[in-house]
Amino acid sequence: MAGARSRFLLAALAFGYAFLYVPIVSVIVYSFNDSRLVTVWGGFSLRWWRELARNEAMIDAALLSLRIALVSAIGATILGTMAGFALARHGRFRGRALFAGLVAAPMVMPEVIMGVSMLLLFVGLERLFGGPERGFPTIVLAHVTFAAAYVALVVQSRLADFDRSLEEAAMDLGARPATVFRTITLPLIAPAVISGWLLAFTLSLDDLILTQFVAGPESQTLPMAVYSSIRMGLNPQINVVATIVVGLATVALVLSSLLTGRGTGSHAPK
Amino acid sequence: MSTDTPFLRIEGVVRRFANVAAVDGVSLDVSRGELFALLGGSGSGKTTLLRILAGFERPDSGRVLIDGEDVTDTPPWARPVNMMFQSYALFPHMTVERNIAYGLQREGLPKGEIASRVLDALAMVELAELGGRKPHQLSGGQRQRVALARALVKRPKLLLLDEPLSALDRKLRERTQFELMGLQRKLGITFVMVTHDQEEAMTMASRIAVMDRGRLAQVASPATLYGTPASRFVADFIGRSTIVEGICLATSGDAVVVRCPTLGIDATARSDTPPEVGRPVWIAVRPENVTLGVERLATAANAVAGVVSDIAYLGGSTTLHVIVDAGATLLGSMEGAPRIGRGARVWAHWPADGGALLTK
Repeated sequence: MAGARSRFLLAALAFGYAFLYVPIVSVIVYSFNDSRLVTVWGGFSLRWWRELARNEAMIDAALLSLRIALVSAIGATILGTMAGFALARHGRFRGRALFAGLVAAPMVMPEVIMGVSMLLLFVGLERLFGGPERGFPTIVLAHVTFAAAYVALVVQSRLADFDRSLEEAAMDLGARPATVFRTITLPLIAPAVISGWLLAFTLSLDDLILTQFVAGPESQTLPMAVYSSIRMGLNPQINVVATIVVGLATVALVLSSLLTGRGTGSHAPK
Repeated sequence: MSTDTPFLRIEGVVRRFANVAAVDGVSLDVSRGELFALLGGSGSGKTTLLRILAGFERPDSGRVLIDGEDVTDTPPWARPVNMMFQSYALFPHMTVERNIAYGLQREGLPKGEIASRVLDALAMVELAELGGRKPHQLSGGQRQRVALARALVKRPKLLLLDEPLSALDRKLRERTQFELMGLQRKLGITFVMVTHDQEEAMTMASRIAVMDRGRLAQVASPATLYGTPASRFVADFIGRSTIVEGICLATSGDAVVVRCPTLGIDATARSDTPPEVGRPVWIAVRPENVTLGVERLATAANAVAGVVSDIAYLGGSTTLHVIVDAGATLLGSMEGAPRIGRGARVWAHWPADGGALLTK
């Protein structure tokens, strides 16, 4: 009986993983396809990689996406860390439930709704103050808004099992609160902050819906470029782009989980 | 011993959490160079009082003076006080050396002086070769020593210890008790220690404050606490004793006669401050003051008859529970292995000064 059951579990596991990863693996494999047709294997070649390297529109889009991801990940990390501190440290302050809800809202809010509301906001701002210009700044603001929620979550959970007596010990030894934060708190929550940054970076890099609402006519991010080129018909270059993005996201996620894993391993000896 | 100006003075300190007073009007003086213990169960307020001394909690009212200086409003980083935490609170991302140097770096001392003082501190706790290790690479006893070195390297006027030995196993704890006492005598620093372990307090402290629900139940030397407890709470908390209720019948000099219905006798006890005749009092009798025998001893001031109900052999001595005919359960002890069996009829005797007379 145990044998039949474990065989069933193995089959279910294999099916689950296949469902998740066969499409991704096939995209990676087909990025080395020689054929012009996306669905027909024509032998191994780096033809489409070379072709993508000459595709300036795609490269510009990728560079814009990277710039947006870098800047918005920094902004989201700063705001998200502060929100995480407020939630983990300041007890039951007045309006805490409301604040916690507001911080988490971007995670559950449909992106279309966020996109529409942000577009309305930016249009209104433009009418009142003449800016910000729709494009890079508005995309960054939008990405900071929703990525900060994820950073706050990561930092808050890290702080929840932070031993406060470490900070008290530092104070007792003569450190003022700012010094305590710089020399004790920040180094100890750094893994969570960095993994929050990586998370925000990946989220920003592949966001399409929200970006489409707030992007100006001039600015095209990588997901937008990919999406519009697919509408013209499948192009094997897209497989190459997808492979690169998957690679980047995998590296970021592995780094992030290594950092949080190492953090809990060495800082909680018991 | 100069007693004119106490080194540490706590004046009417009150600290409430959500309207419950954790510390409820405590006043206390500690002399220079004392090893003072705050002893109490959980929720007695001893840890809150220690945190007030360290500056982590602010009293709602009252004052704290250290060496004549009012530090009530001084933040923790500016107090001439260091604390050893129950969890040790060693910084996990720093080596042992950097942990110990942390407090000296905050003072902005020159590098050379920091290095030499860290080395001295490591030598003092016999960890000279482990300076490069991280806290998670140390044993429990070693961590305790690092925490001690880190607090002492700042040369505080007052060292606070929060349950300093509770994380160590029994053998190591006993050895460390004597090491701490030796260190305290050598350095002459005033120690204030919090503990729930009465044996630890009795062994180490020159004076003990027993705390109960935020108040001081008694402040005295270990011998006084044990011999003449001030209240039923203290008699019950320190060591073991049988406490029986009675009514004061008569007094003559320091001798007090108490009618004890649950013992079935009028017991005699001694008190320096005899109570008024007619008021309810209690007698606390330590097991080692009770002599057990099959025959009644004519010389004993107090004697009751009963049946042995339980026997606990502790190695060096045996504790016996005697159910007195009138109803009370009396603890008695005898040296060595038990020589009386369960169910035996015995006489329990104790002298007039073998029971402490309590009025509260």
